[in-house]
Amino acid sequence: MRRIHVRFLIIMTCASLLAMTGCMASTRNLDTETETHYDATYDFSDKSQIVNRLVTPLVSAPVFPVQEKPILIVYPVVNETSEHISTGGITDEIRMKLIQSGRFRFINESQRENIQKEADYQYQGYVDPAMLVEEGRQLGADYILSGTLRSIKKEQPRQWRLYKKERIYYSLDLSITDLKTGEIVYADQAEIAREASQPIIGW
Amino acid sequence: MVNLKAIFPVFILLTIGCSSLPLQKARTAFYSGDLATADNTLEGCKGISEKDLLLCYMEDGLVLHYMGAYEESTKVLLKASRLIKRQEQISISEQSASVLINDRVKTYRGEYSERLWVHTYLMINFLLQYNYESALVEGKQALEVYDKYPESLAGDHFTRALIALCFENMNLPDDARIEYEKLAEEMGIGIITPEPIIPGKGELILFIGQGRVPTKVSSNVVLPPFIRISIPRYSYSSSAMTVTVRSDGVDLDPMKISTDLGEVARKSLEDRSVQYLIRQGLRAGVKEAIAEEVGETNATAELFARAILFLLEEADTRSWETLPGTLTITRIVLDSGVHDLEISSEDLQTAYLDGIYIPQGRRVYRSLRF
Repeated sequence: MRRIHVRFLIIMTCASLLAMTGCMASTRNLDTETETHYDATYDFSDKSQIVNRLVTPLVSAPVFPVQEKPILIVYPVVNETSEHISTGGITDEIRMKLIQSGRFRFINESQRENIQKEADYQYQGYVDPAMLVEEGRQLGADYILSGTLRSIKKEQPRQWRLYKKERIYYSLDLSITDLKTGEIVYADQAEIAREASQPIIGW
Repeated sequence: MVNLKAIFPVFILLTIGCSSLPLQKARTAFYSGDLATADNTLEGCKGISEKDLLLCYMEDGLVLHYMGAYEESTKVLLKASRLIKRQEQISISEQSASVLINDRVKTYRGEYSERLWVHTYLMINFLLQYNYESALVEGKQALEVYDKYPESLAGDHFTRALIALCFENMNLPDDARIEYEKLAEEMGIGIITPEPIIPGKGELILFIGQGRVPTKVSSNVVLPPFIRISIPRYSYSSSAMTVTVRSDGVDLDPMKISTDLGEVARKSLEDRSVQYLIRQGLRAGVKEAIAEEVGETNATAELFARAILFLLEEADTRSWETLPGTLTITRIVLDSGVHDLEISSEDLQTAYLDGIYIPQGRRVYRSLRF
């Protein structure tokens, strides 16, 4: 009887230790340049990959002469995937990389209301007249930069199996439209295709 | 040892069902018209056990929707949607427990139809917030559910029409046409083409919920010597309810597409019946083996064990109960300007939308519940 109790105690202690180890919280920093995917869906590694694939050829595109710095306005990338993806992150990163390349100038469309508000304030008499922003001096865009993010998802058909496979294809179509003529002067596409599998049965 | 065997099922019996108390209270408050109490009772689903968490998110999401808190409702229903995806894995421990006790010990994963309706209400919420992009994301997720369970969900015309509308809003007419073609085929009618919004006109789109979805009850069969088989079924059959619309005193005949949610839910449950019956058979066998083993040492204990196992056999009657019985999408093309509308349900209740402004070339959305 005593031996049974000792054995029971050992088993319980081991089980408790195992449970406690599993419950310990941990945090660690990840390298943003390293690809990390938990499943087949879109994540931050994809954003960087897509942006790099699109920006590099755009910077050296012969459509825009080197001596000119065309002025672009960015319109949000339309999300036509089946996931809630913040495409604002994609447009922000594309814009940032293009500004850093020194080849393009950008109009801050998202700050238009605030610019107007600030200009209105300056003309209310609080600001030194010599320091007032001159109205009617804003830049006009030469081109519109826009894009569409799409996805095609395929799951393995329902059948007897231990793992469920899923394939997802993403594409981001980027285009630059000449505002004067309406002509699409530049278009490019970045694609990502991924397969992921996860066990159907768990503990 | 016999005592332990007897105490264990009693303990399980006592623990089952306690966590669903706030859900019941919230449902009662919801149907008595006290939506704020219903929402407060659920307290953001903090005290709800993991096995009923999906139900709680679904109920709370709907309560918040009909309170007009569309943003909050969206947040809660998105949690439900994420949870459904996480629950795709089959748990060995839960399956084993359900074979020994009953299906109520399993985490509630939602009927196929309920999984679809999470996306349906998310689509409605996003449309009411004029977030067309996110509405289409939900539309596409709903299409994935349709593709997974085509036969069970073919009767949900409302959701299909909603998906088509989401494609229209994103200026994707070809995708919308495909959905209208599928819808026409499922409804057994000719081509469905929504009335175009011509210059000088706008469109009012109403999402109308009527009645309440049937709840699940258990059907019991008792076999000798002491075997009880308990199967869930929907409590009563229903039929889609009609709705009439008057604008500025004039009867209108707008495009209306309805779904009888009870019928779709029933079909979903039926399509799951094979796996249900297999588990029932397995459980009956396991329980009989336990009772016989107990009986080998003590006849009284066997009787007691059989009684406990008999009582433990309980059908899983959990379901999303705040859903309406019928959902109807009504698309009304109106002259641009201010209108007074009168919407009457089949059970003679009337809702008034006074002074509703329809801008030119735009769509306006409202959600109603009778």
